[in-house]
Amino acid sequence: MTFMGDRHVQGIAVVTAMLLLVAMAGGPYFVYLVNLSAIYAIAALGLNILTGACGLVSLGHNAFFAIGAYTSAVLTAKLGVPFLVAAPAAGAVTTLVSLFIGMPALRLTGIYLAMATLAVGFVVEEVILQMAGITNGANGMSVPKPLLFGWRVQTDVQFMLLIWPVTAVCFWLGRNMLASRTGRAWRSIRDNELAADALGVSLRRYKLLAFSASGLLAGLAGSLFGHYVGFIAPENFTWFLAIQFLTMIVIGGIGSLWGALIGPAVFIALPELLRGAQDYQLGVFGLLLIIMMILMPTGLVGLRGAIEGRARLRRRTLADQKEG
Amino acid sequence: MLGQQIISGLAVGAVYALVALGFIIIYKATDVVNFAQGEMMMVGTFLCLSLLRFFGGSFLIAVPLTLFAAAVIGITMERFALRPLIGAPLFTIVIITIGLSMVLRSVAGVIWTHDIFPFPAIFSERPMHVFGLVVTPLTLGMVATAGVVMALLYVFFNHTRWGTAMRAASENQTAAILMGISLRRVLTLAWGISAMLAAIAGILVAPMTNVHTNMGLIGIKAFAGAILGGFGSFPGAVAGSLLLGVTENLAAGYLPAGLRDVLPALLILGVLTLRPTGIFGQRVRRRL
Repeated sequence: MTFMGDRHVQGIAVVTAMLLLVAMAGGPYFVYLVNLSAIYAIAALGLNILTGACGLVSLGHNAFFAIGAYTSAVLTAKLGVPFLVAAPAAGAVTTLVSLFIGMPALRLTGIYLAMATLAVGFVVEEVILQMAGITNGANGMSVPKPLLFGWRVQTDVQFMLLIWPVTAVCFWLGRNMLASRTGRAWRSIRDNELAADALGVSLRRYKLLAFSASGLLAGLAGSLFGHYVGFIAPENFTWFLAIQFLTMIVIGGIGSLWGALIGPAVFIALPELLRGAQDYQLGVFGLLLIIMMILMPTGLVGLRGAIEGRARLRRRTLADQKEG
Repeated sequence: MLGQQIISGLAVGAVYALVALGFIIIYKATDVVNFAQGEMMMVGTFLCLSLLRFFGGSFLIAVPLTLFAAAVIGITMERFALRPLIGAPLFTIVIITIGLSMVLRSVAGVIWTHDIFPFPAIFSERPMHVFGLVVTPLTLGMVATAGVVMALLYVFFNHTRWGTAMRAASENQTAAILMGISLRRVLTLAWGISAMLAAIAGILVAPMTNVHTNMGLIGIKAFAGAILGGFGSFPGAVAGSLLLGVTENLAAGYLPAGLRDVLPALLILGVLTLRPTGIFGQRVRRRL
């Protein structure tokens, strides 16, 4: 299959083109929301690889996101490193940290892993607070706008042109990984660890790979987030963010590539649409979350399968009736 | 000094334990961690505060009414938000409980505002001397109440028909259904009991923490306590919660600010590194 003949590549291209058009028509605030969901989508993709594909629940992705954001911020603001070096460096540092965390976490499963990662999130938050010398602690620090080949990326539309290609590349790579031997290995671990082990899937290797890929994506997303928003403080990265990431991928469809793109978009759009509810905003959001989950237990992506399945069932029933 | 800190740590730990037991009861019935557990505690405490005001401060009337109302709320949540999803993927159900926690916090904010309210202590807070230690009846009462509640739970689960049914359902759901156990009633009971436990915990701890809409964060600590002990084990949850409470109190007394706040998290990481399924947790059985 050629690159442009790939259905996913075409899909990404169409979505990107649509977003560009809609965003330009929608005004700066709309572009801001679109950019924010693109950044969250990268982190959500990372979580979806670890939790959705490999079945390792993380409630500590706020930590990876924060490490990415702070690494990039400190490198550019304090050391004058250019953005093009700082952002990949942020990804690299986060990858190392996630490997470091992944190593002892190999022994943990399910709810214990969730708790351990949650604890890591608390520790990282505190470390950032305590390293006030370079992170400014609770006061937060401002992050310079990226400088690309002499051009300063400043407006929302300019950021969109920076963020969306990064998101698209991440999704393309993620899609390839999920469709490859690696993706199959992850899913086999998720579905039955013992069977995967018996079939020769190296649990250690593939779990660590999932951890590092997940950390890389979350770190990269964190870096973009910092540069885009322009100011970061530890309170941006509490455990509530980790819960939000988890919610995003479940809304979108856990383990699904597109789910990681749709989930964050819905998660960002809904509260905006609910602005009018004021005091009730959180409650209405929670209620919608519950209703969505009851109606679509496998997320928005599962909806397509459900509709197709129902249509198939209907066809079959009609055929049966004819025969009978 | 040390003795007192341990005692107040035990008192707070006992409260965590009550919430933790609620977590586990729901987990055993549904395999799901209920992220709204802390918010159930918060709402229960607010309800009790309102009832206390209405009945002129009489705990004797307010507490039973609160427990009843909390159980009704818990059962209602299960009936309308969780029951449609029996058999759905676990992640979906976890997100539902997160949605429930948002709804509870929002509704509480609308009814009682987001201010911080003091809460009257059910037991006296006047210090007294016991064996050379200065303790308040409140701390002793917290430990004692938690102990009595735990004993009642023990009797319920081991010596009553429905308690046995609940244990059976958590052991093997299919077999339990085949034996004529109503899974619906098990779920109703689990959420009702869990909500009542949360409310009791809230009433006990509120004199120290005050009542506010973010009070539900205590739920996270109780969850941590349950994990420490080994999730799914009742004695484990109690031990883990007490350990966490004491650690927290000692850290607050002796450690510098930065370390103090992360010590519980470090404790969890340390314990899980050494024992991946908690202190009393059984090894994860792997079945093909």
